[in-house]
Amino acid sequence: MFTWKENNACVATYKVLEGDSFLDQFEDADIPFEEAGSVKLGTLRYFPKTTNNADLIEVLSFEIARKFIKHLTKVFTVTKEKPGTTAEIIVAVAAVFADKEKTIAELAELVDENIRFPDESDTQSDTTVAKRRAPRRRAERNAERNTEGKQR
Amino acid sequence: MNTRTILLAIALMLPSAAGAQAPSLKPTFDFKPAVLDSKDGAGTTLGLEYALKLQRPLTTFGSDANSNSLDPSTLVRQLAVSLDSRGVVTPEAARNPRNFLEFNGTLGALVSTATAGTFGVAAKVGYEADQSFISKQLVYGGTATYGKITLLGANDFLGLTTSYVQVDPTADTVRAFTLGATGAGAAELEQYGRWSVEGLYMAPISIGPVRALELNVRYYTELSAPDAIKRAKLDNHVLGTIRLGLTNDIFVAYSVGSLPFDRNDDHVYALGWSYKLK
Repeated sequence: MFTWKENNACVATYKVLEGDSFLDQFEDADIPFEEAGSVKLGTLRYFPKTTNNADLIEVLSFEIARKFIKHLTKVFTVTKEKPGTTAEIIVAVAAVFADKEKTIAELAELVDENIRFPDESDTQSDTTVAKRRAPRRRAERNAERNTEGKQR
Repeated sequence: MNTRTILLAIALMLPSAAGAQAPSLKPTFDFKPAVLDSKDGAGTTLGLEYALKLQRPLTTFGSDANSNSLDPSTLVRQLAVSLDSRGVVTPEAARNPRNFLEFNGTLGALVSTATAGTFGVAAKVGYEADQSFISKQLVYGGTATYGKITLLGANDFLGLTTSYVQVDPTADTVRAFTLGATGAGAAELEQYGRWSVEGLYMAPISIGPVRALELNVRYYTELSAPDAIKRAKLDNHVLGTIRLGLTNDIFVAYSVGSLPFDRNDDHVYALGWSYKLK
């Protein structure tokens, strides 16, 4: 089960959605990172409030999905996570943007499944990398404590 | 100015019934309660605005399968079938200022480009009715849709959708009365062509407390309408809405006009506050 936390997919999704120079869908003062995962896409600025015409929402979702992917590739050095076309990724992202009940965390999960960030290995998604990082950080902290103990 | 109706939209973001969906079959649900207070003597009533959609992509065409890189400029082409429905319902149909329900099935193709926007065309079969299903009609024809983000400014959006359909009024009491068709004749109303357009423009702005602007216009016109229909002003329907999003999640909205099956224009004012349930 995908968890909203400070990994590449979640941070990248948050930055692209929030950034003034990117999609500018909300202010970080209103929706801090820790609370963003549960926010529904239908509450963001891009989702129309005066119509629920399915055709209009569909073209809008493709437009914003493409722009979302464009910002991701500009800011982060990303590649595809698995075989397929960019068009399929845009279609999948558009389907999430078209569903007002989907959350920002679900969008980040899709990013995690389809897009690889620079520090991910060939067989691991970003969430697996995040778990692998934790033990190293604990080891480093233990090493620091041992060093501090010796110095006293 | 015929009828003034105050619409207090309470956007409470009720939990959705959508649940988990398979990747190729994605139902989406949207239910929004509304309190309608008609000053035309109908009192106050609770309404429910809904939109349902079930879409199944048939195939997606892309050109960079052999590349590991992401190409956000790639051309996207897709074929899909979908079912959708939308409308507003109230406990008593007579109090419903938006008494028009739509049920549609479409087979469509979509092309999304990097700079020229996204285009969609579809063949459509639909069923339209008032809330009580006393007036109802079949429609079949085609639609064309276009949308472009960042058209005039950063992150603004312009969308246009137009359709031409042949309307088969299986039971339209207002039309039958207007044309003088009664009894068996009421059930044999002739088909007619209808052209409709809906436009949407959204833009983030920063003027005082205003943070967002949204404009929506829906226009329906009957082609070659009989004189009786024209005299009764049933051949054209226009509904326009303007919504301003303010700071602190407050919004104000105003809409004026009518939809098919509406006999009177309604002026609807909305003042609301969006609250995000976590």
